[in-house]
Amino acid sequence: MATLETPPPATFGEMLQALPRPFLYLLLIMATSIPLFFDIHLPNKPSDAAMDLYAVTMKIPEGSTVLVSTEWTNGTRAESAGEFEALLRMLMHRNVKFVIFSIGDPQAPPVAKDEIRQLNEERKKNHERTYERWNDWIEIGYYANAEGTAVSLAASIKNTFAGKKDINPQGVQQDIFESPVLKNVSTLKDTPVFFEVTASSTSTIYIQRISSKVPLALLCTGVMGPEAVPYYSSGQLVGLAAGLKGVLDLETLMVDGLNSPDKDGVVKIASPKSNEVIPGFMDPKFQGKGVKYFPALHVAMVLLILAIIAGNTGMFLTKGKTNS
Amino acid sequence: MNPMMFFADLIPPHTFWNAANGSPEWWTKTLVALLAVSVGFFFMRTAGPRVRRLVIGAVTLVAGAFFVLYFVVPQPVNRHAGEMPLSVPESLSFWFDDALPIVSTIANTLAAFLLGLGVYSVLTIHVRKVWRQQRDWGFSVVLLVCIVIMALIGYADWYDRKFVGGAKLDDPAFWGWINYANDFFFNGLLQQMDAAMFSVIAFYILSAAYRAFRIRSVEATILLASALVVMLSLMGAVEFGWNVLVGNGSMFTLTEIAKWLRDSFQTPAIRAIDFGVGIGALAMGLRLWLSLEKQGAN
Repeated sequence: MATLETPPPATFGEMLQALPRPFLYLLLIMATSIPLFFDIHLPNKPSDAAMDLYAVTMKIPEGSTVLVSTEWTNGTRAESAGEFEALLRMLMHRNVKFVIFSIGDPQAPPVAKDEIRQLNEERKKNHERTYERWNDWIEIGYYANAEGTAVSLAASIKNTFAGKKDINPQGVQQDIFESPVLKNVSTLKDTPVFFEVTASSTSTIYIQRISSKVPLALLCTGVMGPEAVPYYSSGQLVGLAAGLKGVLDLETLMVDGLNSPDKDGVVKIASPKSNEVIPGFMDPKFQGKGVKYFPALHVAMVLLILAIIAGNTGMFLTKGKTNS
Repeated sequence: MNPMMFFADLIPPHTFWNAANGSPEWWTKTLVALLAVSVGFFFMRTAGPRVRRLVIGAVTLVAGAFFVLYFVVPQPVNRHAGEMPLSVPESLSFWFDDALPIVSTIANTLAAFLLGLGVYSVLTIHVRKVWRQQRDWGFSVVLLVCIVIMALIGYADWYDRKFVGGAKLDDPAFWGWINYANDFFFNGLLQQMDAAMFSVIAFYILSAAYRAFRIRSVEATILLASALVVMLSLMGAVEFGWNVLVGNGSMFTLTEIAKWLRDSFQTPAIRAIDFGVGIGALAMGLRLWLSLEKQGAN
């Protein structure tokens, strides 16, 4: 049987337009993996939205409780895991208690718990106090009806999570509202900020249902960022970190602080909205997921731009030849 | 222990809709509910399509009406425990306030049943495929084996953490073989495959951008230039170099240009799209609520 075969490219222009797919894929694999082996610190200027998120989080009163809706799994871990880690580092630094739950993905709470375990191992190594389940954080699980749960949360946290139990340090099942985390919490007004780390459309549900009841901060994936920006500029979101750039922004702020002068008196990151000094708390050598992964994304974007330029150059060269 | 307790860690406060686990009241309510559902199911099976459509439409209308009215009726402000309503509107407001968690729990339970329905559907299709040895039935065997293993090990791990080991199992030093098995299957396999599947998108994006992102028209050129500026502004090294080149206070820094593009074009465009989507969703919601969608009602 005769088969239709594409003739090999005859000119440079045609060649540029017909780069083989495996070649592009190989370049992408190299672009995203090789930078991971090197210790590269790229300059970074945090976005205004990330600065606001940092400021809001670092101003939460010590000992208070916040709700963290975790709606991500390892499919987006390159972005979401870094965001979740950065958020928890800030909360743990401020000794803020937190509740994790999900309305978007039943796999999300176990993945989040795994991150908490890893952070606790790191804290143990650094001789810091570990965050204890029941005393410092509670996991409530997955709620299948996202809209209904968000509406109910807006009315009352106590009624929404009523009857949920967890094991206390003595090994006895006890109502979660008797735990140090939730004993003083009844409605959203008792929580200073509501955080959502998400890779799904649950963010719009929270914006619609609860953003008028409690300051809502969003940590979402890069592709969701543009959709979330209108809600940040309208004030419905008090802070926003989108994608790997958002993770890097938070990690930069955790090191350099906001409006905070370094030992030479130079303010590295100045907020355009406020002069309030919020110092950083991480070691300058700290390498979170943002610092580690961003160079790979950087090189991948260079590759993407080069690929687009190659395709267009090829098209123009070929067009010129056809016209002549 | 009540057999149902085996499947849940939720012990809700006592209302009309529940009772203490294992109590005579719990059994009575469960039997009544089962009877009601059976009668309803039998009725719907025997009823003609017109009656069936009517019943589905009525249930949809009542269920939707709750949330519509909840949104419209003023909500109680600073309501204290044990406070009595002083007027009819306040009674209505209190009633909705009290009913919301119950309705939400029912909605959550129904949504959870949908998950079960999905599993049932997958099982039916693939068991049939294996039974009849249809094309690629080997993959169905793999799927079924994975479902069973993951469900059994996942449940055993959950039970161990919830009722046996408790919080100490948050530390891997105390893990038993079941916790390691769950970690291997959930984190080691399922989550890694999830990540691998998602990462494939990067290859498609590169391939599609290379082949499709061509300057063929003025619109395409504007789009490409904007995308390029925004992409470059996200690249710390390029952004830093450009900003130093034009002067950090200049309005032509990459940061400022990207911000202008985002604030002046992207955000308004997305807002316009969101308005359109919102109006569309409202119209669609009304059609579904009032059972005007003929296909749905059938």
